[in-house]
Amino acid sequence: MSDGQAQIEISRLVEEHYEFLYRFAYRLSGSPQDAEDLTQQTFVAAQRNWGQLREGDKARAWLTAILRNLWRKSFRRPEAGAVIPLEAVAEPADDFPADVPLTSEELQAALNQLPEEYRAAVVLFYLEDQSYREIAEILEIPIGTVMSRLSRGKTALRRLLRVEHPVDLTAEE
Amino acid sequence: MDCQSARSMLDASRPDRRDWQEPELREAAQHALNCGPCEGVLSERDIFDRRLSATMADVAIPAGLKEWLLQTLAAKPIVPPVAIEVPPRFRLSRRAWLVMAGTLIVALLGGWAYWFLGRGGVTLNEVYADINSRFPLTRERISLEHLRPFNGRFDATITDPRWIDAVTSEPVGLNLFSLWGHDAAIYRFAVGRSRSLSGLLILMDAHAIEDPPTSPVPTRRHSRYDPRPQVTWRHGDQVYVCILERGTLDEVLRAMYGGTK
Repeated sequence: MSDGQAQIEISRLVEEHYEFLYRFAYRLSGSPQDAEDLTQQTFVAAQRNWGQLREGDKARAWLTAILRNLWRKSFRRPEAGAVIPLEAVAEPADDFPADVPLTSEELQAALNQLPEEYRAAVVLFYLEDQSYREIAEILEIPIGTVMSRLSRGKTALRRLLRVEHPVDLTAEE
Repeated sequence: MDCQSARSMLDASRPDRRDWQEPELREAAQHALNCGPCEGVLSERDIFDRRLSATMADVAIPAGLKEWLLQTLAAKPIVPPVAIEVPPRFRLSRRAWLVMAGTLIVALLGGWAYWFLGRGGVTLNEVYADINSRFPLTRERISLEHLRPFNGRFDATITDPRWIDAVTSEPVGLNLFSLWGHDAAIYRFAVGRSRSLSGLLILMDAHAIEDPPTSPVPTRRHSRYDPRPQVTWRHGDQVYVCILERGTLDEVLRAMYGGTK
């Protein structure tokens, strides 16, 4: 593939996937600035490692994995004080109201309280309608682990979101 | 499968339930399809999941993001895949393989010989430990019937003049630390009036022991862990260990040397 063709392919990847990657990055980081930087660095890394993309239909999974790894390595903020132990919220909650009002900001606030490994699985599940098998491939973890993280992460999220006035655990005392 | 387990597992499936046929979820799905309460809870979760999916995607894309990305990428040259020169595979000739295999075999045999045919030497403590384990303390006479006549590589003729006439048997051999011939000779001895004091006299080559005794007269071994009284001494190139069966050490030493050592 010539440089010109490669440039066209990269541009096509940007066209097709940048919105999804930005949203994924935003939901992971909770910051618009970090999301922009993550998205940019993901494409830069993809361009640098262009030869690694073997199957065109796996491009989104490939880019998602790059972004998630970049976030883990460089962008993740110290979580002390912001993340709550999953055990504190992961009790069974079968009576949650399905019609509880839910805004994007409330959702983000709840996501920010999830531990990183649960957050990535839950965001992929809801954002992209990914199956647990696809999530396992992207996160490079066993299927059973993904199922467990999805179950516990979603339960925690439901618990966090059903509170009408959630306690802001990130606020300074 | 109970309700809680089924609900927990099915939480990993998508709201349209197309994952319910997956092998991991089949049993849980079967439960849910036949369980009214579970079906109700899961239906509510599906509704909530759909709403959450819509909210999750509710993220405004910054204006101009795509153009900025494209400009950034255009400014960075695409690095073509580097053709890595793989050096020609290092191949050994048949002769080299044979030499290596021969060296390895010799080394293995050498190691085996070192450990099993004869180590560089043993300490006196190791000799004591071996003897004590082979001849456990009993009230009965120590049996030597299972041992073969001595055929070791050193001269096991008793040279200590005081003990030459004390022995009452031909020597049998013992492999204490080598498989290559006997390295200890065992005699029975009996001394004293009516030869009432008896035991075993073990004879070894002093060069095979790292720390042979230096005393030419029997020296009592001071160790509370020894099951029976023992004395040891050196005469020329020979090391002697005496184990008592009948009588006391003092009686034997008095009979042989005229006093207690």
